[in-house]
Amino acid sequence: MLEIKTNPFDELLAEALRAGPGSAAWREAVAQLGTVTEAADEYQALLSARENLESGKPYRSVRAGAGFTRKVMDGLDHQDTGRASRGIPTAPIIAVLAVIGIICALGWLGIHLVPRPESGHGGLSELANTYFSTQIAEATFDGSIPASWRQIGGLPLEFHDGLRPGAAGQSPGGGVVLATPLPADEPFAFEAQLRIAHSSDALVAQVFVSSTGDFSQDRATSSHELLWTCRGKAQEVVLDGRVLPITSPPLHDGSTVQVRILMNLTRAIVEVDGQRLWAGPYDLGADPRWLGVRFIRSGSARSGGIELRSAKVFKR
Amino acid sequence: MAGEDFKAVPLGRASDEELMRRTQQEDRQAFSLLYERYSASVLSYLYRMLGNLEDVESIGQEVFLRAFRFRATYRYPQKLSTWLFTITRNLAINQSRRRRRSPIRNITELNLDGMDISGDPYQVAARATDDVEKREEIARVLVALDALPTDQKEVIVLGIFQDLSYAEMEDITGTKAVTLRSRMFHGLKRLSRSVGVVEEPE
Repeated sequence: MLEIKTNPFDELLAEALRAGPGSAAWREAVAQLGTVTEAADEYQALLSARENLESGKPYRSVRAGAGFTRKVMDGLDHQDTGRASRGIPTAPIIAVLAVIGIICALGWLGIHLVPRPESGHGGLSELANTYFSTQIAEATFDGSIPASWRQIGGLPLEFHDGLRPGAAGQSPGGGVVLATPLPADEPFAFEAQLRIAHSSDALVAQVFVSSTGDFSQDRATSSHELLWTCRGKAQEVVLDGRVLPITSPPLHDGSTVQVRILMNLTRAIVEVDGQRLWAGPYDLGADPRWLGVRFIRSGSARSGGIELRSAKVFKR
Repeated sequence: MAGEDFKAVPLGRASDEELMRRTQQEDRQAFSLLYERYSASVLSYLYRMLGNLEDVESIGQEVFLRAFRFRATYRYPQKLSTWLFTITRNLAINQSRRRRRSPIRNITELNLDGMDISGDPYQVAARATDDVEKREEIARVLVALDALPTDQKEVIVLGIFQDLSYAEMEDITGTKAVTLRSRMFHGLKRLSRSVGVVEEPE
């Protein structure tokens, strides 16, 4: 059994394996291998595997295409634009000192006239770069609704290894919502994983953030909300009933999609499977945010098969 | 002061670290050069670690946008490559935690070059040698690379494919060099077993 020791040969071999054939360490390790008696076969096998990797070095070697580079440069331009108002001065030192002098003179007034930035007011790039590391809610819906979530609407729901819509009766819509709304000025990430067994135009699934929480009994909808929705194989992003322009690939039956909504007080990003569908300013006011997932049937039949596998909420 | 350590040289011949210093002084052209120098290695690292081209593209963009946005956090004389790969690795880890792998759904929308051949271990092996048996060995090792535990795969990708030293890997991963060497041994040992399968007597 090969054991890693801290003897000089093992250190030499480790460096040879990293540096590869042709390196000085490799030549020396191969030369010394002839004097090694213990585990020599295993050492030889390591060198052989390393040689094969050397030959396979182009494996998964990719380069940026023109489209990729354009996206990156556009993103940089966007950052520059966002920073234009507070760009770092490159003027001579004397000019900088003059500016500092003016700032000092007006400092006291500035403190009182300029409102302090509040958390949750950041721009899109700040939102996109926020680490949402603290999970504050999670639901897997196996057997019942977790305590921190509640049911909305009148459509029967089934809980077994996920949340599924039942057959429509009196009410076509129903879903679940986080029982306690989140403060509007605190950025959050809402993630919902949905499995699309078989899509149907008669069944709509929506991942939403509402600022009113006035969910109707029949459709489980509210008056002010930003949502991702899928009907059949098509997906849309909707803000207060207005379909926002997006370009998105069609969904596939048998797939599992991860919908992620990032939001602060004024900006939101909607992603599906890590791909950004839409990002921009929105206006849902300063009221607390209700996070949830709903299903809406357009007929009584149990057509379509979509289930909510999990829902998670993160904050910074 | 860091700025005094640099000599005035044409932009194209400037070191990575000097380009970053210029980037910190709002020189976008300097950052564009850094992007040209590192985009392929960053994207290839992501492809090797994540295996999903959609993730590679989205995280790859994020790496460079974040590097530019947080350029002020780079401190000379840290190697620029180490700083950049630390960002790349952290984003890759976050992405891995955020989602499980999903199949490539719409490859026509991707904006990367070279993936058509380099993504197939058998095509890579075929280009490496005319020896049919050797081809099989190379392809088996590349296929087995994907099945390695992440920590062993990472040290092989960083050390062998990205050609980083143990010291650089130590900085990037926060893992001691002795542990990285051990992972290199054990990772290669597993890969060597994948080749051993074809060498069994008939």
